[in-house]
Amino acid sequence: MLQYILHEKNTMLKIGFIICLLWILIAIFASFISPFDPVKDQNMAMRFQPPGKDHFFGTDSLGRDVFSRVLYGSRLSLAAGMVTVIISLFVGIIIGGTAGYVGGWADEILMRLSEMIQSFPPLILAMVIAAALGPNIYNSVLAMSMIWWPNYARLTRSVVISIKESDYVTAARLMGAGHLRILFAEILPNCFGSLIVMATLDLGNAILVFSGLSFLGLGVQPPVAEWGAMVSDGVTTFNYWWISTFPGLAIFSVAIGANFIGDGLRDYLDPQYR
Amino acid sequence: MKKKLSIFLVVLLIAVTLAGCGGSSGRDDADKTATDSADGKKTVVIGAQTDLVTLDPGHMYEPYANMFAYAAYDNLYTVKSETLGEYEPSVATGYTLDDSKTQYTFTLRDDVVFASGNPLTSKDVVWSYNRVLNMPESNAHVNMKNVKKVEAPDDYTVVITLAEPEASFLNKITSNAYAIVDSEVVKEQGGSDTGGDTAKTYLDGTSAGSGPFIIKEWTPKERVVMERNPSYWGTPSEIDQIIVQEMTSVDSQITALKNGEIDIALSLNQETAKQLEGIENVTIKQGETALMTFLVMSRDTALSEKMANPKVQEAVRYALDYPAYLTMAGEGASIPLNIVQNGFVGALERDENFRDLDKAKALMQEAGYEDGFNIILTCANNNSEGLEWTTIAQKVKEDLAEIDIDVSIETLEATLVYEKMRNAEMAFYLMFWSPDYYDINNQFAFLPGLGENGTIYGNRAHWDVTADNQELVDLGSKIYVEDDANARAALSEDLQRAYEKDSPIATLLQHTKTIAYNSERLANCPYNDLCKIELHHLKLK
Repeated sequence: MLQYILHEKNTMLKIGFIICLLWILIAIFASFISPFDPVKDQNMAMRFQPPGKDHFFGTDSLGRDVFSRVLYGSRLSLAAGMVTVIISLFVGIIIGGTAGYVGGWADEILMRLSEMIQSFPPLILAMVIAAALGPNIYNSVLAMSMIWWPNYARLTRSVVISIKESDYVTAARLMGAGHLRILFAEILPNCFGSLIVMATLDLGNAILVFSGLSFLGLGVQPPVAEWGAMVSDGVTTFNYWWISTFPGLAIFSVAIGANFIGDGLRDYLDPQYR
Repeated sequence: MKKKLSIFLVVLLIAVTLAGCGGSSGRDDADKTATDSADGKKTVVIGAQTDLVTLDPGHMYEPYANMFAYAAYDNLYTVKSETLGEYEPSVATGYTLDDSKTQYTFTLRDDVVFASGNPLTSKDVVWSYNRVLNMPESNAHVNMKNVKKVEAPDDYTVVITLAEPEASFLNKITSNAYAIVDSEVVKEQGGSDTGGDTAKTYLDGTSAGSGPFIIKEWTPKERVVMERNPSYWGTPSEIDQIIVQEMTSVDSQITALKNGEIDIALSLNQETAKQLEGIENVTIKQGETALMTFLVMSRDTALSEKMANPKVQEAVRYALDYPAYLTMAGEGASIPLNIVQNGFVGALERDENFRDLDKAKALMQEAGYEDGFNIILTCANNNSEGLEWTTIAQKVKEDLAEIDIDVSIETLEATLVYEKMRNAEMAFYLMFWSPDYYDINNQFAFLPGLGENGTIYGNRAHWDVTADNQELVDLGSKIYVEDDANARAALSEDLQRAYEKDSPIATLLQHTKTIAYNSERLANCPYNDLCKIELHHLKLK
């Protein structure tokens, strides 16, 4: 796959890959490249400094360096996005696989449940759950996972249903393979391609929703550096444009990077789109 | 592929443009009547984020309500223009106080008429006061608690008897609870001075007073329309119509003021007002407020044994970096020593260099917590005159880290925090205080006292009267009745110094109000904290 990224003429995939790689490196090495501490380096004498050579992205209402906070913010946003997608993927595969393979009443119940969740606008439902659980980072990731799994469950289920009656599955069954083996070894590998594309595309969305929750005060608690919360900091002090703009651009770049990778991967894994 | 790339570039462009102008939400259906309207009416439009829940002066309790009460109704005494807690005669021409200091005799002007044409006489005053006295369900009722009876010996004399002497009574009388309503009109609309009053619905949509303006229309969360009272007894206003337009976003107020859609923007702060600096025809103005922001540290050991320790609470006061809070709140803000705001009698200020980390650490050691501890600081998602509480809380966290108290900030919905506060369920929280009436007597809510006869913050901070702080209660009751200004100031200073020795409160700030107005249309924009914009003193150019 790496070879594909490097050699194929797929500019979007390359751009997306570079953006995401860059952010992952920043997240890992934030403590080495940040000139200031994102939380502790308050400096009341340096409030609302515009971007300059000491503070590349300016300073906020407590005199903290916005650049350092944006760098540190990548840790939370990327982690929250990834964890959400992984949990949803896991839950979705199990539920969708069961529904598709078992069929009957189990299928009915599980799919109606997923439709119930999907009938709400995702951000609103996430807000309700996060507010009910209490505002902190774990609860917002949990809330997002709770609204995200139906996408994966439905995809998995449709693939399982279309394949479970095929000849090679029957052959495996005749050879005495158990249900679990048939489901996980024979059927599910067929949908991994589509699931990975979906997961990559969703990573960007998950980061957006997480930032949205933090913007509304339902994600992280201050003074933790998080992009959505930083954008909301700048809303009340609107004439200091740099406070919101840079974290906003960071959210934008990660979201678009993840989308580019998702698109590129689809081209690779699903040649009919090419 | 080229197509995709160009789409990407377009998306990028849109995103950057959006980032540049996001936040300034559009104004909805606000009338563009700031300039003189087509029918030749001189209209002034005020953009504000008010907290109105009623326009009935007998029920009002919200900080912005008095702006409307003062426009539509008169009181015996009224607040002096652009002061904090000074008053002057209005419908009354003067008063006498008997030797027991409980009986006030007011003489009334004989030229005051209501908007309906009825003359204002002592029977209206008696009826209005009795109406509120017999409405225990009203929030305004609390300001009338001390009134025992109201009588009218003749048409232009009112005698008020108090249950106990109270030096701040004349001050209280300037508030909306004591607004005089037209008893004839209100009676017809279901009003009653013996209980069971149902006139609120009527008074929410109009007014029945003798003030300079008449309330014509109120659409909650949208606007209030007032028109000049043609039969006003005082100097009539030059303004025909005043519209107070609800505008919840500061940005929309700023844009509307720039565009001339509104004449006064009421919800600014010093940071947001900078967007208006240097703009022709816009004047930015600071007003005094009695709004305080402070930390409450509960004495309830069940909530947090560590935070409840008086030594720790004193250490917190020594650890705070006071100049930083002043910087945040901007020019004009101050730090009261503790519970008496600047502008009130005998008020003392906190020394800016009060911070003493060594002393704070020593106090922590005395308390037995030299290694520090963890504590949750609860903070409503609220702001004081535009200064976000989360910003203040983050600074508090930073300050207390210096004495090894590890603060975790918990931001919650404001209504939830107020409920927890009333139930005394929080160990450590940030809160604000805006007095009901502008006198030191109102500040005794911060004295110790638990239980039904306790004080507001005595209960909220679980702080009871003991032999050590009995002095505070004694000083409080002396000040409550003392009517000699000098003696009162001296007692007030004693109280603040005594309070400094031991209390569960750490006062951070007394705020300042920032407003901006169109100086091409308006000659002035008088502000006082009780009634916000003094609509009756507003003058056109």
